[in-house]
Amino acid sequence: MNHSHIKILFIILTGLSILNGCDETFELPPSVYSGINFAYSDSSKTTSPIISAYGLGIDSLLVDSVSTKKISLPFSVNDNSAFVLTIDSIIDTLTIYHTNTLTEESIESGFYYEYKITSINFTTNRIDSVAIPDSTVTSIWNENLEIYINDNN
Amino acid sequence: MKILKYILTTIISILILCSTENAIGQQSQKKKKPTRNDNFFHMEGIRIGTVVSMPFQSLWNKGDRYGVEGNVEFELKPNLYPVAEIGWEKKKMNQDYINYNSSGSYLRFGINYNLLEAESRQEKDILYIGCRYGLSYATQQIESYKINDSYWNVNSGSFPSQNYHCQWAEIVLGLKGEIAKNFYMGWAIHYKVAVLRGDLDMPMASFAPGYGNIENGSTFDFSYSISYNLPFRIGTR
Repeated sequence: MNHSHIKILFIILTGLSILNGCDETFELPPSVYSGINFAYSDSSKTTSPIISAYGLGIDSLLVDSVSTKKISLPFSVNDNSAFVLTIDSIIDTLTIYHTNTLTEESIESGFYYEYKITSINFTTNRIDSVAIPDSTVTSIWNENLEIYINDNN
Repeated sequence: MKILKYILTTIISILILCSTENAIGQQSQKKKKPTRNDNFFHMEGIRIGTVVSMPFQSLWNKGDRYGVEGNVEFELKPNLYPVAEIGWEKKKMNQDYINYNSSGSYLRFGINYNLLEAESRQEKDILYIGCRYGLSYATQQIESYKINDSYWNVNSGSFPSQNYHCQWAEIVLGLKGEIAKNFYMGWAIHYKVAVLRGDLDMPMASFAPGYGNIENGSTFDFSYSISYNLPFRIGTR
């Protein structure tokens, strides 16, 4: 049994070392995005608008001239997140007010924020109205806002 | 990764079976016998030991985990060994998004039953199954954390130190072989189930000394130990 003990220890420690080599990577904490859908107020119009979006005061674009009815936007850790939306080349500003809840994913991944939308404010150049189907913004994507576009243009 | 851990656990189990092939073979042959033939004390006095794998736990755990453990056992009745284990452990997790550390002490007590029937009083190797109940008291601190926000700005924070406790139950399967006169080496696989976890709001209690990651309700662990039998007579044996 003595020799087998040593062999077994060696095999186990080698196996564990290999396993640990594969295992020593840490998952990132989840990214949380609000889901935003676009629809025309005239329900007979079914084409997708051309959307661009960026955060107010931020240079980089979140969405760059994409023909889509669905986008995802990240919230800031402040109590509001303001976005400049370009919908079919017409600019609107959307400000979303929210509360933030610090959430622990795990001790390996760390923390992230979940949000609760409390109110919204927007300009009406192209936006007709905004509904809040689900005010809770979590790491699981769902539709939080529905933006209705007027089709005057 | 979980699959790999299960595979490893299976391999370890197979190794246990292989290393005790003869003994198990003998046991199965003797299954027909109504009672064991080794109804005698295998060990005089007490056996004291330490877990030599404690400083190397980072090999099979994420982050830095290390500690010390001492244990003591004696043979209460033939093949029945009450055990007490006391130790101290520390875990550190330093990575991009979190800087965590936890340390504390623990106590485990329980009993082992020897499955390996000895042919003679000179055979002192044991293959045992056992149970434990563990208690730990620890302090954890998140020195810094960062929120993964690549668009708006980096948000960071910290949490002050928190004290908490944990209790768990454990099943142990292990081997202990006498490699020199009164000197033993052995290893064991532990399956632990958390019974009572420290009730902290934020952050949660994440690591319990002696248990491991208590974010999981149950966990496997491995230990390799050396021990020495202090041979003296207990009572009127």
